[in-house]
Amino acid sequence: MRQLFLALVLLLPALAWSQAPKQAKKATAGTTAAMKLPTPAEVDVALKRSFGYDPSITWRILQIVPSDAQGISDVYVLLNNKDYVHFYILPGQKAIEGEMMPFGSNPFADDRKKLQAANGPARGPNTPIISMIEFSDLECPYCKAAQPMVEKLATDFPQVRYVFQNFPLPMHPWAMKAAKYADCVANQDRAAFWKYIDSVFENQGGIALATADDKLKELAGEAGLDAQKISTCASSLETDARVNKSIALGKSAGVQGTPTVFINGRKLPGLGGLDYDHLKALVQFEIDHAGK
Amino acid sequence: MTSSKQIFVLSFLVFAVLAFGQTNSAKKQASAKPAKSAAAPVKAPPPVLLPSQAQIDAALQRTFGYDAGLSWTIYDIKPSVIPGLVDVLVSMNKQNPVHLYVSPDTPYAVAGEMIPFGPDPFAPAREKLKPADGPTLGAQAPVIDIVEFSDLECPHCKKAAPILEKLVADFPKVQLRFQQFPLPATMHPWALKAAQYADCAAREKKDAFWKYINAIFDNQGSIAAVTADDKLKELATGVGLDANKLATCAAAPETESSVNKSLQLGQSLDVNQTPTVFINGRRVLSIGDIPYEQLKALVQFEIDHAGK
Repeated sequence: MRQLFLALVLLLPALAWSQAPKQAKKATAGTTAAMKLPTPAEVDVALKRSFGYDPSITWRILQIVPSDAQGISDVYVLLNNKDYVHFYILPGQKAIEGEMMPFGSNPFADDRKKLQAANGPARGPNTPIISMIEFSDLECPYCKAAQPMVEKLATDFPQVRYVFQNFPLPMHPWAMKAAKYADCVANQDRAAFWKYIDSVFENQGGIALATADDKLKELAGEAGLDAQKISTCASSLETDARVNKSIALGKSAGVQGTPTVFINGRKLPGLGGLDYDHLKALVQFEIDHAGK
Repeated sequence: MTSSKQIFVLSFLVFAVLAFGQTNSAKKQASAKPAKSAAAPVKAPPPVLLPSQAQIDAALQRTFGYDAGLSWTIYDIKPSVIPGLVDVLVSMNKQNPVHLYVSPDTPYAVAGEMIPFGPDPFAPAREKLKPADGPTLGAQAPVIDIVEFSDLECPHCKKAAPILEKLVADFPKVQLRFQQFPLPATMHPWALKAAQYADCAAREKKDAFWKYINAIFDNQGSIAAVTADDKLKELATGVGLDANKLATCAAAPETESSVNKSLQLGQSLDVNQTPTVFINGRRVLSIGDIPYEQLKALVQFEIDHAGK
């Protein structure tokens, strides 16, 4: 239906998702493993059958993955080179064009459970009411912008545990290296970690891939750390494994971009564009719903 | 990420955002409920354990309750055509209602619109339309057909009529079929009566039917419930029909059941606004708003995909 299609397409700029397509999610244990995904050719045939009458409508299939809901495939399509649309494929030649979201009496339980494995540097109580877990990339400008807000939340809600997880994106040339340095800093001197990442964020503009080692060492020295030791640690296999484990954890919870913050398991990509008062209300709401 | 923020806005305010584009939803909702009470459902839906209003409300509260500025109204909770998937119609902040497809087995829902999707996505509708037996125009052995569910009191149906007639004139391989779908008297007080008169006109003199409905469309503005019989008889005479015979026929139980059958056929296809047009089984709404060239391209495309 053309009208509906256009209507949806017109509103989907809100969906614009400029980064690379999300990584294939691991099938949720047991539930979606046996599911047969449609092939790109099958999806193309279906799109052609629905929209092929209008040569001005173009599409590119970005990915086909199992969705979080059992038996439903998630087909992600770029329409007309500008609109990103999910088609959730159902049996019986039906699909829902829209957005999937957690929904129910305890909708964030899955991610909360997965994120119990988060073991990045943390602030706040060891047995918190709820946790706030941030997946961040030290080269990402939006992470830099988010950091003071997240830290202010951590300060304003001392009963909440704030955990920092490295999630360097492939598109950022020195993000992985910075994540490794930061990981080593946390291991060497946990108290210095927060100062260190703040100084990396502040110096984002002055760091390039070629100079990254020098600059990251320099910042470590300024934070009172043993720069040489940090640098050696950063290039070790163990560090590589730890950062990759953090990335894998994020992906398992559906992290696609940075920063992504989970509050009591509730996912907030980009902090949702919420102003601080809304964020505070959200954290308080999640405290009120701790564990459910 | 730059656009992560936008994604979040969507995932939280997904209802509100979706609502901007879906002006049709309100119309659908407006007509859905009364239309359903107008006639018994064609077949009882399979027994599904539906979540209660309180459960859906609690879930919405769990997701959106952090923001005192967000409110919602649950309009309807019913099974979708997909077993196990529940169709919740909800309005956020008093905007046009949108569908939330809830999968009670998993803690997920999809906000959006269910559409036919596949290699032959319109086959189920085509199959359901086979019993359609309204008056036809155009090809007698058509390659594809266009079935219109129409209400003679509805201004958008008036607007659609010449467009559809032009389509069958431009595509000699296509047949147009007219199905009565008078909306409830609460919305259109004389639509049912007009449908009954028109149904009789088709049976009395098939050729006069199209002239008759066009005369009704042309005179929509001057017909009211109290004058409907007089006016419908007058228009019948104007197109060469026996007005008294038509009036007697229109009041007969057989005519009532004939119109109800057409209504039920439409309801079995989830028709809930008029005009609703099916081109080779493909549902097309607001046909009067589609540029004619685009409509022609669509009909040609469906001819090229006849039967699939």
